[in-house]
Amino acid sequence: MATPDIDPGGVLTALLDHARLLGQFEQARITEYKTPPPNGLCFAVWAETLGSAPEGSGLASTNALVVCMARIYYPAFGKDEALHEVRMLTAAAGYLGRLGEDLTLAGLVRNWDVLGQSGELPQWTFGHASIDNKISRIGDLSIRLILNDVWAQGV
Amino acid sequence: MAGKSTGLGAALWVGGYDLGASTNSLSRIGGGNSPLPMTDITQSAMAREGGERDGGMDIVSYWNPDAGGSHAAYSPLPTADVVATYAAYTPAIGVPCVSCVGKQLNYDGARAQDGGFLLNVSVVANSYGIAWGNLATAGLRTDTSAQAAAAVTAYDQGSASPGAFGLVMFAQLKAFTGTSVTIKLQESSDNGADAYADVTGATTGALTTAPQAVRIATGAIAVERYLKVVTTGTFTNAVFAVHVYRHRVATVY
Repeated sequence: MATPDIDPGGVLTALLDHARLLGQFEQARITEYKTPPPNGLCFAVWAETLGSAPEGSGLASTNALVVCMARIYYPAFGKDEALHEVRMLTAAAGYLGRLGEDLTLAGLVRNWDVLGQSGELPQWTFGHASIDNKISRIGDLSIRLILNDVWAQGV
Repeated sequence: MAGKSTGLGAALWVGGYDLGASTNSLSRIGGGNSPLPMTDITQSAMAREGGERDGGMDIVSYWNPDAGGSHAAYSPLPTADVVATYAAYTPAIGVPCVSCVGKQLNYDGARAQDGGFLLNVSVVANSYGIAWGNLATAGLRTDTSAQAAAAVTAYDQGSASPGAFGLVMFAQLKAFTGTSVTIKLQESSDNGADAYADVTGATTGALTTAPQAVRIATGAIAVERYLKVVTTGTFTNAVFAVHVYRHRVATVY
């Protein structure tokens, strides 16, 4: 059986690197924060679903759709919440901008779904999350990654 | 990830105008010949011979009245030929592209009730059908002075000459400042010891205005593996893209 053509570590690292290179986050990491994130703007990315992508699959192979979640954190009760809001939106827009210039994550995936071809548009959704009774302002982004011919079809 | 690819990050140049960002979609990029039935009474299945070559592009454009935008490109509805080039995904040297020399039939707008304003443009081929090829420049290239082969990245066609079938090139000149610019191709068999030399006939001649686009065909000559797009002339700014297709078989238009 052929080894699936997928590099999970590379994909997550690529998504993380874009956040790091944006230069606006105090801390960026793979995996969700289970304890309150440090003060300042923080970023985390993790995998959410992995499955087949029928629309791009061939006759004898199956494409994969990997959905990764990117989350921005900011302490909810800071000195200047309006400024925090602006910084968060700026970082969110900047992250999408960086991803937009790297549609294939340097060749690791066929493309990330920038225009909703797999059904959902990439969009930041903002809200709040409580971690250990500490409330953070958060923004969530589902990044849908389509990979070519990851699994063969046979009997 | 090689293999199946998307059309994201594509480009469209028409008559030297850079219209990718003003284009909603292309509903058709078509070509081929119309075969002529030649079934005789001894045959039990259809027989066909190659007929006339044809092609065209159907473009859905946004409304962009800016200087150098789609309105400036399409609204003159010229009776002369236009040259349209579509790069299939993010332009780079070697990226497949397709060009069509043809008549622009229309620039028909439809203003929808939701406020959208899209315009349909059809280009139907004149004389040459449609030509797929590859970009020999990384999208639109900017030269601020004449560039010799030493300063240019080569386009590797992947194989030695298939025979003396010639090539066709399309040059889209978006912007130009100066007296004139000549865009031409030079070839080398190994991108090394064999010095780059002009491909006979593969030159636009002196271009003095922009935007404009031209189609150039060489004679039936053998074209070597590596090509470079070089410029000569006196200028301070030339922004252009070049599409090249080396014929694999003898091709007559």
